[in-house]
Amino acid sequence: MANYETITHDVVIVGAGLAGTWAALQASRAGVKDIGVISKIHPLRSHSGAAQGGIAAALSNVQAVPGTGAEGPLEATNENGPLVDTWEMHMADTIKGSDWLGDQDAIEILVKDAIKIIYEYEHLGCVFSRLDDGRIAQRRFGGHSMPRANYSADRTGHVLLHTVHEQALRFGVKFYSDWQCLDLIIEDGVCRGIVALDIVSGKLRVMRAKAVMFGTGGYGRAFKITSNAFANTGDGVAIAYANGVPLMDMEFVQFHPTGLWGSGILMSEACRGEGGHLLNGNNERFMANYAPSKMELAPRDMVSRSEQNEINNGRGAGPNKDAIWLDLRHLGRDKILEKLPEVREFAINFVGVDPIDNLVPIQPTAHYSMGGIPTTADGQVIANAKSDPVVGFYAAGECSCVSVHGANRLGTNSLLEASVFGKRAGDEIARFVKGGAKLYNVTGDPVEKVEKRISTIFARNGKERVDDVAQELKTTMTNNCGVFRDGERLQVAMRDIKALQERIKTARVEDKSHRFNTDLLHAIETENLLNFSEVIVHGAITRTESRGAHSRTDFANRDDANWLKHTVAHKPSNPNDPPILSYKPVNIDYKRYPPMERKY
Amino acid sequence: MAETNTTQPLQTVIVRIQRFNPDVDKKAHMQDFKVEVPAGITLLETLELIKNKMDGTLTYQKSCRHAICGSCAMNVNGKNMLVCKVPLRDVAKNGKVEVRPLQYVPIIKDLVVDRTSFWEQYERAKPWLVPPEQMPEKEFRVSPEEVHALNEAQSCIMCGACYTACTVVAFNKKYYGPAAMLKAYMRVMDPRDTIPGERLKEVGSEDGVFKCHTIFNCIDACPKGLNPTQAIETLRKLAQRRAAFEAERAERLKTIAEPIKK
Amino acid sequence: MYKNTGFISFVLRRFTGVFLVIYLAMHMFVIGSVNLGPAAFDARLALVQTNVFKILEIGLLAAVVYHAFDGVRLLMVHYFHLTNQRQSLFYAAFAIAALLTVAGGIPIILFAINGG
Repeated sequence: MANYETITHDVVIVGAGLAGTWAALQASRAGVKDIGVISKIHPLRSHSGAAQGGIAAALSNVQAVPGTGAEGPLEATNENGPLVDTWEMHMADTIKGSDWLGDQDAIEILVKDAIKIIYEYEHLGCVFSRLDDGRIAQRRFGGHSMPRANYSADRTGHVLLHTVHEQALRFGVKFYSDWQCLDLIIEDGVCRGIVALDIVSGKLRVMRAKAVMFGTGGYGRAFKITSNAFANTGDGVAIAYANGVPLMDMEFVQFHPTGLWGSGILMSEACRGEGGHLLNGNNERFMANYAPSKMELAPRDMVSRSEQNEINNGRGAGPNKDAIWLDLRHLGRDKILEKLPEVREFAINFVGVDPIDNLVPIQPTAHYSMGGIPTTADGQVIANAKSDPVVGFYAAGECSCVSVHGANRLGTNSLLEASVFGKRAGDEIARFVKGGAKLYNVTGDPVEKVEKRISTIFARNGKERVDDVAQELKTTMTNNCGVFRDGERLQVAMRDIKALQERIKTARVEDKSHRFNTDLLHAIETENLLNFSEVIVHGAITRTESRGAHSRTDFANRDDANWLKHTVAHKPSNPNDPPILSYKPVNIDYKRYPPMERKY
Repeated sequence: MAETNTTQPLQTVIVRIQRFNPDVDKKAHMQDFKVEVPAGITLLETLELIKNKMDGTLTYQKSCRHAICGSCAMNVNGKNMLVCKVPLRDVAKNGKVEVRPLQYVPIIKDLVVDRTSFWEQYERAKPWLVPPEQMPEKEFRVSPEEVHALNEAQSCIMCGACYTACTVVAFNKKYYGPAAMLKAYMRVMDPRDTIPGERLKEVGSEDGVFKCHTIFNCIDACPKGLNPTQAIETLRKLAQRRAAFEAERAERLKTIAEPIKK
Repeated sequence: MYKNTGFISFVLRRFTGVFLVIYLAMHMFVIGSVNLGPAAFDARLALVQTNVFKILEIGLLAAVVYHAFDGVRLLMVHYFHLTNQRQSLFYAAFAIAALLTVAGGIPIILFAINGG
């Protein structure tokens, strides 16, 4: 029996971004007082805070000046006049953006709750940018037919995250900073807690709870060119999968059109929402050839594909013709300083150009994980395509797949999803706990397995380092499972992943100490990346169509007859076998929103 | 990352890093790493290179890579900064750069510090809004000018660079410190907040704004270009006319749900 | 220690402050003896009428003017939102203090040399 300390809470939440913190705040307000939230970095450092451009809701505060078209100036609406924007319009945009893979019942909840949650954010202290009459200001965003991105300059996520964290502190939520979740404890189909590593001391702890929730974020770190933080290694997704929980729609990874060239660091979509242009190497606004009505504000998957297409056809910009120009110069100094101060800094610091005077080189960058742990609209994790629940286990935010984003997420819908479904999960958890949920015993020794895993990692003394393996994975994922995919390259990616899964078993960790061992964490995170990358690639190989962000050159068309369904991947019993796939139908209201061709 | 910039000329830099693991070392020591790197990379990318190619035991914190998460604040050549946003060439002008952990707080390991006292002061400053009990159906009305006054304070990423540069903090851990005061300023100035008087009483107390010696280290250290000293100066003035300010807020709150009139 | 002009001004402010307190104590020690009669007063005064103390008087002058103008500088920061001019304000206060010290120091030295 391993020696470890056990901590007990009514609710344990893993991840302190918007989803996790909203769940904690909401459950706490609903009367659950004993909540512990663990986070591998300080809660205020969570990647939700990196979101820049806005959070969508049809508040109807702003409209285009009549008669000026899609790029015309914006003005405040008459607040006593009729609504110019409605949740129904937001819903239609989201469904179209998802390429009809989004579940329409969940999307309806998302867009209806959107309006309420924006006002709630405002009431809780969020400092939104404002119109002259004091209402919340709104801007345009890609794929949305109306200006409905509510924003706080270009640091919207940062401001939302701080607001919710502050309120959670106010309501007495306990945060464990620098704690890494390493395992789930699921016995007889009931989730009973987690095993966590206190990173500072290096000690393992068991955290028992009546309900466990994951808000662990996305998996964009599987790619070399990515906008994601170092922390976004999809740990929660990997841990769930390893414990028999399926993963849904993992092959859908969004590539954002405006990552800074070379690093992939994000230049917000607000750059284009405020009127920025994209130019190819010949200084042409090439989007006119791909989405003439929406131009640069077409959905992200389309813009990224258009950029990649320009580059692949020799019309790229820069010395290697592998970049695209983002042109903000015509916005003028004042507008850039007022509305895009942070992204201007990024361009200056990371590519050495000031967008006030110069073109900024950009390229598509892995940005958002549409797939993840399948849940109901109340955050309840489901165990299979038949939607049987995993009792006591909840998830929300980017690690989950409700699915509201389907095959492609619209900008500003991610902060919204994390907030709305985080809050709903908090409500559901409170109902579950107050409805008499039991604190189940943990019968086995949950720490033994994790201890063994760690001592195995410490014993590895091969020639290669962990990071060598990690970098090769990222390279193959970006090159072979990126914006454009085909069967041949996906097979290469799969072979690489299989080989790397073997190589990691001997890749050495140099730091053998217990205190704050980031080398050990890197090894664990890399194992996680390797495990779910196989699911991403397997799903992509199997899905022989192009839909949203999953774009195959060998199957260029959407195939509703065969593929209008969610991929649900289960871990095979033999690790040499591929993931076992089953399929879940998409919730579609064929009367209101029947599948149509997606054109902008 | 580094390897994408291989077309750039290489430069040789000696990175001198303070190392310390309290479990095994009696005291901290400096270690030199000689690296050959593309000229344009950031200091964080340089540290990544050292950790991943030279010495896996080197320990530091990082996350977002673009100066919004606040993980990677360190002391570089005697100045606090976020290593993710500083180009190596800017700090290694003579081919050398010295990297140490933030000062005045305990070291956990190498460049990782224990910010516990920093967070305690943040919580003590009650960073949360206490809104009116009666919520309107829609948003509270706040003018663009009122938002403008909060813009700076709300940009703070809580990296702790100011706190660990503050000479007063160095001697007195009971002092709120610049970041917590900036947060308090933001909430005092927020027209929706109902307890500005209580807040001003607290920041005007013994450990608050009057402890500041106006040394300006916080401004010089802030990687986001913020100005906690000015917030402290304003709080000093407001703390001296607390009752009047409370009355003004009470008046403002009467119309907080109504359209702003020009 | 985190070093810049702010830190230097802080150290100087503290140092001159302590110096002025010491001076004040000595000053009271001498002046207070007036109650003990003329002879006692003259005796104590003679103790501080040496050349060493003449030089120290220049230090006293420097401390007074620096401390005073540093205070004025901080008042200006407090009332006129001048945090962005923090470096130039420090240099200005320092320069004024240095000038006045020189201006007042020369007569003191001349007086010490020529005798009084």
